[in-house]
Amino acid sequence: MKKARTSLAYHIMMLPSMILLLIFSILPLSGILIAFEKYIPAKGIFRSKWVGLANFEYMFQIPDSAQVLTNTLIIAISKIIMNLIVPILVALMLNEIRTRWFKRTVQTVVYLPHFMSWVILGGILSNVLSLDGIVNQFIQLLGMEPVIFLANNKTFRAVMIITDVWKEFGFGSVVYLAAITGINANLYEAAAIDGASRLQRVWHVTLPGITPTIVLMATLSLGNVLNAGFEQIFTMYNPMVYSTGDIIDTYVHRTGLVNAQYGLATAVGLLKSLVSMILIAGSYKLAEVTVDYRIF
Amino acid sequence: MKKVLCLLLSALMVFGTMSAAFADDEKAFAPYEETVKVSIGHETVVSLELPDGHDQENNKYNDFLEKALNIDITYDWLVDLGSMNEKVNLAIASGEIPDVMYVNNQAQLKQLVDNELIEDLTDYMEPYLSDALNDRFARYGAHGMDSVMFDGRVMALPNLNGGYEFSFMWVRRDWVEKLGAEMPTSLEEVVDLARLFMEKDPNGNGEGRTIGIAVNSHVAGLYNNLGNLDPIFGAFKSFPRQWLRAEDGTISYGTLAPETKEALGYIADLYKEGIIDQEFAVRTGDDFNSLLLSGRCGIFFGPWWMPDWPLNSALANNPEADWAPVLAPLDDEGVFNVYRQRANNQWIVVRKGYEHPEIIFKLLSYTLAHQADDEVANFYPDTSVLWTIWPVIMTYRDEDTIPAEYRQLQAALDSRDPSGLNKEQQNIYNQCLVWLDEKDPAAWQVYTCRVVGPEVTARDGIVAVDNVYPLLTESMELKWAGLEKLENEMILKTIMGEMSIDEFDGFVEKWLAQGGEEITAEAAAQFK
Amino acid sequence: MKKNGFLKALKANWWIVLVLTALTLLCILPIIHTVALSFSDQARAAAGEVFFIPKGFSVNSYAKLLKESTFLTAFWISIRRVLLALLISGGVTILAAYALSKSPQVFPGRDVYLWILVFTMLFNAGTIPWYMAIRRAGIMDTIWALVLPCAVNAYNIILMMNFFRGIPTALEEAARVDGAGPWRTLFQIYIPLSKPSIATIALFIVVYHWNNFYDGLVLMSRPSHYPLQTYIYQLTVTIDVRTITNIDTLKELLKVSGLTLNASKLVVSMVPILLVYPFLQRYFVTGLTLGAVKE
Repeated sequence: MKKARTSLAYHIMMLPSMILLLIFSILPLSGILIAFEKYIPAKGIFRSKWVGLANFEYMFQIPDSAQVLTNTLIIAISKIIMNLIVPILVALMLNEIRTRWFKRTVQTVVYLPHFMSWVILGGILSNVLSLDGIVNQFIQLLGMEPVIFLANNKTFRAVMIITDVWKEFGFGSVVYLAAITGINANLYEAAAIDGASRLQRVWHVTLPGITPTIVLMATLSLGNVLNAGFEQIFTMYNPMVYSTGDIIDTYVHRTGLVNAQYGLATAVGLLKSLVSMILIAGSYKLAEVTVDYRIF
Repeated sequence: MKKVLCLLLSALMVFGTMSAAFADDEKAFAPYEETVKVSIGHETVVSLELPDGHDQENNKYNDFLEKALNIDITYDWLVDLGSMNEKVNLAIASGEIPDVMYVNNQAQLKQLVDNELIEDLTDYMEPYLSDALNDRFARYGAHGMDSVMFDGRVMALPNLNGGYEFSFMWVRRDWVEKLGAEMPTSLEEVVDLARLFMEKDPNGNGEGRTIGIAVNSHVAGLYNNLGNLDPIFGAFKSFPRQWLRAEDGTISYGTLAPETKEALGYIADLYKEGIIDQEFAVRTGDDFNSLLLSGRCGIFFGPWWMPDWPLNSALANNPEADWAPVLAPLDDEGVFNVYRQRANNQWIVVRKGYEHPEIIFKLLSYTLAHQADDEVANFYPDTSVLWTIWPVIMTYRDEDTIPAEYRQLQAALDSRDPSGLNKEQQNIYNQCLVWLDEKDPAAWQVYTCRVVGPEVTARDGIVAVDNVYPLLTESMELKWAGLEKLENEMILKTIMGEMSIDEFDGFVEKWLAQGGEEITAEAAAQFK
Repeated sequence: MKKNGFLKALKANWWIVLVLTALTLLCILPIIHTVALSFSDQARAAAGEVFFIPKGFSVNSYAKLLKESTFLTAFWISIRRVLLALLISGGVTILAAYALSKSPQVFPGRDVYLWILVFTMLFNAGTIPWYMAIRRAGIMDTIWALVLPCAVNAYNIILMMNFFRGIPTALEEAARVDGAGPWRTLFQIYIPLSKPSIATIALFIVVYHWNNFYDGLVLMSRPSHYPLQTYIYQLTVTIDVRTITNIDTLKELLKVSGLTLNASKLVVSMVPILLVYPFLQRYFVTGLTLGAVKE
């Protein structure tokens, strides 16, 4: 009896979330059907003409598809790798610092960009990266030719990757710092007694100590292979760099909302969702097997 | 100063005004017997600031119309231009649109028709179209209604664009004089002048900081806007983004022409040399404007109304900034080549099932007839109010309104006899006199915009190519977005040197193969 | 004494200090540059003279900003949005996380709920059905459209859930012996013990809702309802001249607000984050790591 009352309380606690999900996430899922239809808005989702996989076939015929997929993969994978390595290095360096005020200051500042929106950072960056901006003034000081970073297909992807790392590396280092703190201090003492140099200590104690965390973070980030960062690119790209900067999400936005090809846009989005889901499910399974981590 | 601006803005609308004939227009102007509710989806101006806490939804203009016609206006949405397309697309996708909605692109109009979301207006035209509007459409000819006819039915109310709004050169005359140079006519002279500005730096911007020619990221082929390079293409007899009809009646797409290749190659060289703004592809409107106003740049291309905007504040920023129009560059034969405008680029539609489709005719007729009333002009005497404040209004011009009104005004100024002018033109006339006689800087804008700019459009030696505006074809609906992307990229990359001009032929093949050929055939069929 | 410590550290770790200092500067200088621009004279800013110190100090752009009612309205909408989201999103997150932190034995159906949560996180039908759902809910063009559809965030719930699971069950046992039900246990034991992770979640909610511009763009029907980031987005987009239909609207697109005014808008929109961030920073390091990395 009491047990039933307790579990009733839990159900009630879930209720607000479930109602919101039902209205805003679950019911709209019927919209997935649009991907298989020649969607006629006036007829609605359930009465539009069924075309089977035509939208998907069309998607593979469009010359843009290969380009968009390539852009997405290059940008996303580079971001994943860089966002893994840089925070680890930063955490290792921060760990060597014993002076508290310096450490605090560095941490406070490098976490900051993570909390800024791409709209604001986009405004700041397009200013900083313009032909008259401080970056180009610096480049010219070094005697090199200025570059129009955001309208140049040679630089656009790099700028997207670097600015993303710039925004996230500080925040990413938090997890590794915590993992480093968790390493048993005796191990360091033992290493010191053995006469290990500082680099050796990092290599033989710290890194092995945080390996599970690294593996975990690497696995979890697999789910982002198709997420190249919509907000960032949406706020900074322009037609000149479509060939290197157009990613799945911006493509879906333009086809669906600007060009009104609803079926195509939904099909592309659906495919992306499916692939991401498989990747995420797989990576969670992988995390469970390799480092015995269960997120749920 | 404010007052002048205010006057001017109402004057700007004059071109769209017509003298209303009330007598025969009873139905078009009659108020409803019972209050009728209407919801509108409309574009707006983000930074609109009105006194007394009024805004776009609640203001004296709305009250004026609501009272006059016994209606109750609400807005389903009021979005700025940038989001207009998306808003309309979302509305179409969800199948729910406002009672009355603005549409700014032809593809959306077609979707609305195909989806049976909008009301057939055919039967309302005759009883409710005011005489003034009727005359206006009659004068324009059949092609004024082409875009709204679907299976012989009128599905929307279109605007009517005036012609003669092509771009020509605007130049800092004070710089030309300061450097002892000549006003240019040929393409070479235009480029030499830009080069001279960059070298001699008449504004003292510092070395390498003067920009030769300011350009917008669309580059060419959009009628009636500023910052394009249409005149340079024109000097090569190239008309990118236009559908051209040859003498034998065949239709072709202007971007693919060998002349365009030649022009693009030339422009790419200009870019490489640094004459074309190096950052044109990433400039926001804001940046573009400040280039002109801050003295960074002394040459750009735009239509007659540049003195109204953006040059209106040039003089305030710098009393020496003397922007002047030049009909340049001319081609080898001394001709200035232009293309013609499209008759309609904005439409008003009514939701299918709305009980009072005639309301758009009433709102439009009444607004056009009364927008220049003294009472209306004094609603907010100290604020410059843009005409998008009206719930339903669009541009209505004759094809030759701009040179025609210029000629009238010039004749009156020559004879100092304004008696033949209508009231709005008389206001302009008076302002022009203030400039001519007293050189009051506050009147520069009116004179330059009404006389100096339009004078250029009235000259001889301007030749319009026979370009046509096909209606949306079936393949266009599916493939145009992709082709447009291809085309944009080619133009931008060629100019910025990422694509060599030798790759142009490859682009043409690709464009044709990816649906361009079908579309051309479909377009041609419309002009058989 | 302290200074000596740093000098000694500097000597031992000079290259690390150097690299970290460089990284720190890299993160802060663009922001300082923007602040410097916002306080500079317009002409000197446009001439490219301003780096990290204002040239021709001026508060003109801020004075102008205060007169721009659309900006102020947008600012206020964002503040209200964040407060509502804290209340609603924070509330549902804590409740759901607590329930989900129980084992399926105590809470039958727990796994089904979790599965639904994860599924909706990974899978959605795209913008149009989402837009239609919000329209059907009748909250289009209201502040609720910015708060309710994204109130349930699976990531936050899972983070919170993992934290709750880390609290020793002995405490709950003791409470149950005292006769406390789930509600009392949650409010009297779990919430007071979870300040760091609640602060972390709060920070995430604030940041998400303050920074999001896209839903404002799609769901709001008039500029006077735009949240701040949507408003800022409008300022910074590249002009698309294809959409121009009449001169007036073109004028709007081309209005010169200038480098310094835009900079001041960026600065002002950063302020709330800069204010909240230091208070919550000391919590989120613990909050985040306890949630994400458990042994």
